[in-house]
Amino acid sequence: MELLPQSREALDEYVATVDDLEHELRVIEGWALRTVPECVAMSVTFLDDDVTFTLVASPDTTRPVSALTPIGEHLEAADRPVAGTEPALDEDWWADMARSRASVGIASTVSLPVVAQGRVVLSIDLYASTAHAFHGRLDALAEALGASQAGAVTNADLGFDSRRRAEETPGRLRDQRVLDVAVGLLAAREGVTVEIARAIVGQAASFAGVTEVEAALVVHALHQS
Amino acid sequence: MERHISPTSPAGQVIRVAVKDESELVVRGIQAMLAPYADQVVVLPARPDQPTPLSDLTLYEPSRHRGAATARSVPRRFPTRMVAYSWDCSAQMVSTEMALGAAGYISKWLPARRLVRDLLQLAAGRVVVDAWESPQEPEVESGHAFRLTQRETDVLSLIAAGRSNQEIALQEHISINSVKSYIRSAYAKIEVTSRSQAVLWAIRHGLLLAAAAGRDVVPVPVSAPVRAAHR
Repeated sequence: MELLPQSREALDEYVATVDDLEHELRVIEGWALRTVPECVAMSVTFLDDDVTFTLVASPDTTRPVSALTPIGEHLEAADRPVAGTEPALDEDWWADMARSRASVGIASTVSLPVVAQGRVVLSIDLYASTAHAFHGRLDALAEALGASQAGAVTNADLGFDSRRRAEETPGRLRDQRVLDVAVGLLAAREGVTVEIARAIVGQAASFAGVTEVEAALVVHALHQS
Repeated sequence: MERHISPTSPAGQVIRVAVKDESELVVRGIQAMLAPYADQVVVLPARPDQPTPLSDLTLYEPSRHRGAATARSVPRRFPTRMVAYSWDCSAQMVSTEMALGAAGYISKWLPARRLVRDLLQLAAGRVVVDAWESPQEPEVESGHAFRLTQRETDVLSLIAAGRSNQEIALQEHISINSVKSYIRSAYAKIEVTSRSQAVLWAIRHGLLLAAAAGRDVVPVPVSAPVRAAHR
């Protein structure tokens, strides 16, 4: 799998506790593929920082399906619902309909939380090309990835929303840098702690009806003047 | 005494300099020191009981100025071109005053000729930091105690200036992973856990100026003791 360009950019800016985060992502990818060979995409989210990195097998196979795509058309023949078997309470039918709105090439997903010191710090989202790719493999996956099997959620992201979050991550990191530096500048100028300075920026933004990043840009401008 | 100083005052005008927070003795001393340069710089008479007179530049003593500002929550940006003029040229002091908005920072150790040169540049709208110290001055150890390497110091300076990791890598000619490694090691040494804390630390320890190229800082030599404190 390949890193999205945006994830490559985000990797450059994100300072994690490990020396080589891309290597760590590759280790996770390796374990995932060994356990579930049908995996076509993977996202890893650092929840504390709201930072997501995504790898895809092919950029074209995981694009969102057009709204006009007939239900189940993109699914493999074996996974398609049989015509005329669409009772309203049939869970399989509803699952198939959800897949029809999924991204191309994605027929099933699982989200695995990684817990450290009693709280969830990491979310590993795996995407497979077949509907039942994760059946019977969750225990092995959770054990291989050091995740919590109990907290695993299947087929909750057939629309591949984590990819959108990954695409937004570089911009979010840029905004965070602007805010962080402004808070440091303000703390130095006012002789307060960074926590108080951050609250001042937040209050100023609220009073002015602007975002915290916009307020932070004003701090930068004042510093430059 | 040599009288030809470059640059000259703007449009050949005489620069009017006020001295704030100082005794009559000190003001008269500065007047006497700069008297040979009266065609370029004039020090306005001290008026202890009156507001600082209108001038092109106002020299102030940072320690006394800070003492007068009792309300820390009030923004302390200076309304005019205020120039810190002090014996204390520690990097921490310089960085703090510049972050507060001073137009420049000049050492009281400077000889008259160099002082006049700096004042002319300041009057021309430049930012001047001339933190020259007497060789007899004890070295001010602020960042040195943290055992930062040259590269870690540079990276911290650039972080405080708001540079991205990519920009730091390009400027320092090192890889992205090296930048991250220096950030981690520097943070550990100065015991901070966030970029905001690192920026605050960098300002308080005089690292911001090195990265403030965008502010048109005049590269006036800084004394070895001050530089050594952070290298």
